[in-house]
Amino acid sequence: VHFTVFYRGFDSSPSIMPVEFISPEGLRLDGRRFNELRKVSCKLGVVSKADGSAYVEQGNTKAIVTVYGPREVIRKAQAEHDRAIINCEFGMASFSAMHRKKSGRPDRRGIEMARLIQQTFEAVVMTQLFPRTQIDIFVQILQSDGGQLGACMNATTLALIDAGVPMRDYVCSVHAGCIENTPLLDINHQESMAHGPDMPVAVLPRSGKICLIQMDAR
Amino acid sequence: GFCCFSLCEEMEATAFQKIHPIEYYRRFLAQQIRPDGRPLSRARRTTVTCGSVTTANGSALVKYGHTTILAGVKAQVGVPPEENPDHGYLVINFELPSLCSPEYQPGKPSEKAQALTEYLNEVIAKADVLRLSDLCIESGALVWVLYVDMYCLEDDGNLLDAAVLAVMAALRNTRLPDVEVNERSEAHASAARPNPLNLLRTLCSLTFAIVERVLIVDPTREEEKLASSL
Repeated sequence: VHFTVFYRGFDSSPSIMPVEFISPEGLRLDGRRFNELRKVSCKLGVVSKADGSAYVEQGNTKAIVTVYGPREVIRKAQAEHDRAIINCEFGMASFSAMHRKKSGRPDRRGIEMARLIQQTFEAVVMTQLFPRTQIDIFVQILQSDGGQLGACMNATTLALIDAGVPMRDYVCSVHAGCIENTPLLDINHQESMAHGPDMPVAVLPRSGKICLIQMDAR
Repeated sequence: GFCCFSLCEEMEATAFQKIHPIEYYRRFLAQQIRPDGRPLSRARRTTVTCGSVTTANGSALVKYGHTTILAGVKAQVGVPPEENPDHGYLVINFELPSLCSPEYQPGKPSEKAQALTEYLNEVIAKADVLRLSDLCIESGALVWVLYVDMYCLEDDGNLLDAAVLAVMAALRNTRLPDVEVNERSEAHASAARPNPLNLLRTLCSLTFAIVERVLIVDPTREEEKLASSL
């Protein structure tokens, strides 16, 4: 006999979608107003063996980033004679989302996230100071509740600061969304599943430049 | 003056450790002590924090000194094996992501991780830590499958002991939902998780290493590299 299994919780199935994302008083599902961030906490130097590391919690999204480098390039063919290369690897823990994700080879989404982080930081880190070296950025999501890319960018900035890698500016990032014609700041997982857009934005505060902007919509 | 002198000494000691690690270590062994100040038979300070990952059914973060392992248990409803139709099962997976140590190169899957996964699955399965029949929902049709995923966040030696402790702590922290099965062959798992696991026994492991024919307990990564056997 074949069974279909339903897990109650924060499913994306329409049958258990919350009725209203924004109450008439203007409060969201977790009690925030439209322009309020979730609670942020961060800690530097959590992995003593790494050159730099940071752990960031944004609400229930938890990310840990370690930075190794600048160090010798492993594959000599990839070395650049005039600058450091930046390598990024992104992983999500199998237990980080409501449904278990099989670990192993990184999936397309993981590779895309890694590439976005790498490109952003290639523009910000002063790579010309360290020719023929590589800087490795390893990102691991331990729990995800929306806003993964934003949390990773912030944690990466902190880890690079902890490693003492020179940068032109800090990269600060957050996700925005729009539900029922109301723009929302720092959306969580349920809000990102609500048939509205999910837009991560990363800015360099001193110059006011936007270094990453992306929009997904379901 | 004085500050400058002690900084010089520290740099010399670090240089000595890099150039001649075994000789550096012998100096400590002669005093019956190890570089981090521990006597030969003492394990490192251990901390266990449970329940930090709320998306998992159970989780534990174990720190043995600097060695850090995060274990998370995800329970999924599955089909029982044919030979044991009313037994659930446990699947343990150990990952050594590149972030945990400068020694692990990005991109390459680690043999050490696979070896540890095999070892943990064998040891935990043979030790009967829980009655697999407790995981049965409907005999022959539905059982709980417990996936224990472990991530090493920092490798400073003795992954084995930390891993065993992490699995046990995560299983103890695990809470399963109630499952209702209806006549339309649908199984509904509740959002609430009121049911703890009934663990029959707790495993404890202790690792020894032999360095220069001296037995030490709970080796750090540096000591593991110098050891002739573990």
